[in-house]
Amino acid sequence: MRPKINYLAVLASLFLIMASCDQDTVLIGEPVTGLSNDAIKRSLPIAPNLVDGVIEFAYAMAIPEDLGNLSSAQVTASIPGAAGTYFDPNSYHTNQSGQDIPVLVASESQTNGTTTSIQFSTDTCAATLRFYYVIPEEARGKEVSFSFSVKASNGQSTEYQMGPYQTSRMDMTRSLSLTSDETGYISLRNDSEAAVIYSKSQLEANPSLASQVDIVYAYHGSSDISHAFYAADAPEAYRPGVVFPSGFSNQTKMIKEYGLRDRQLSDLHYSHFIDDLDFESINMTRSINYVLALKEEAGAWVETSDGEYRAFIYVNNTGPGEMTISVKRYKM
Amino acid sequence: MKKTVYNSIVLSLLFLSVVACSNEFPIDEDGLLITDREECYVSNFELFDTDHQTIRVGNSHVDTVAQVAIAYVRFGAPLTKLWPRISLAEDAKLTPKISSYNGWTDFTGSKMDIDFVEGDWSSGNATNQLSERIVSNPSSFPATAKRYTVISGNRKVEKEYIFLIVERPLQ
Repeated sequence: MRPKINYLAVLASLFLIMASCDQDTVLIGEPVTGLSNDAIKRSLPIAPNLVDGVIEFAYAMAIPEDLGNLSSAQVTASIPGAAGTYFDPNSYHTNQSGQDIPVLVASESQTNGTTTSIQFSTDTCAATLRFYYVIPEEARGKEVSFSFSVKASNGQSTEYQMGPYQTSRMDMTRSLSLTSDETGYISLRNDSEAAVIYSKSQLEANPSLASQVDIVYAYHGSSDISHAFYAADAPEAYRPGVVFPSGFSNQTKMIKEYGLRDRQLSDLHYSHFIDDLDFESINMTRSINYVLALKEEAGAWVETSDGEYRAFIYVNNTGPGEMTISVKRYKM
Repeated sequence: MKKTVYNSIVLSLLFLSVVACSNEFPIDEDGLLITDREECYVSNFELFDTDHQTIRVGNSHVDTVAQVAIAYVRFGAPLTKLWPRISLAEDAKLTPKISSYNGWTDFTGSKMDIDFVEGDWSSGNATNQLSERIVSNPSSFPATAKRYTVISGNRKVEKEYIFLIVERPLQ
């Protein structure tokens, strides 16, 4: 009997020692002693950066309250941003419902060349400002880097580097309207826009425009043909009732596609993106000179007859005799 | 008693080892199993365009006696770069092979020009009348039509099928 009780007591005390709670608190990092900052890129991480698009950043700055306040912040970009580059003077924080709440803490931002700066107008020791950089034409095909910096009232300053980010060589035009009767002539050769639509009356007034037309859109009631794109050499049997404008001669190459829901063209929420590499590497030997029976979420890879441009046309939606497209274009 | 148990264990292990490694189903040069099935036929003929959607209307007509498969396609369907999907009897294989990636094939040689008569098409799909008329007239098959050979599961039976495409008139 007695040896048993001793044995149990030893076991029980061992168990209690092992199961006791560890109450020591542990610091995760170094305690903050001065001005500190952090930055993240808020715009979609894998989306190609297109000229005239925006790269959005969130820049967080903080200083311990007893040391002072934040006085100013600035960003220097390696390539000057286009008009519309600015610091949002609101500081954002996320509330318990998950919504971002703005609080006005600064005056209007000033952009001079490559530097955008902002002055704090209220006493604040911690703020997260959003910076919007409009990608300029000069950045096309190049890399852009950013240097964020903040100054505090006690004289301290610190900075944070972001980038480099590659800018695409593509152009994009969204939500172009096509109608079978009047505005059905697509041109990919405009200098600034990815695609422009010419109308029948425009071609009648200026017949030389027909040489700029790459694709003719037409709609036919039959479900086999329905919404169709035609190049100049499309077989006549498959374009009943379609009259090409005189001077339309471009033998555009097209490959029919379906379900390629590029996020920037389609505005849907699939994380697919057509990038420069797709245009450089696509094999156009599968192409033909007409595409029939297009519908919503269908599309076509296009190469102009002279090989100068490649494009992807995405069909946003269709109605009888009309369709809305968005185009990404790449200069070879 | 212990000795008999031990002996029976050893004997049964010996017996199992004899029957364990029998090579009843070998592998052929493509890594496919050679079975003892002798069925050799095509069960379906599907065609996909560059957008990976079918260009067919209705079902394909497959005549396993005459060894002909006919796909009826939409008016205006392009035939230069199609990806065929040919379904076979169980364990059979097809030669020449159709690539599982980039199997784009030119099928313009398989297209048949036919004069249609009353009753050939019903609500957009081909009728048996048309299929039987095509099959019963082998001299009208284009010489450039695609041909694939089906090989049975036991690799002993080979049948060559001719694959045809008929475009329906504008609906």
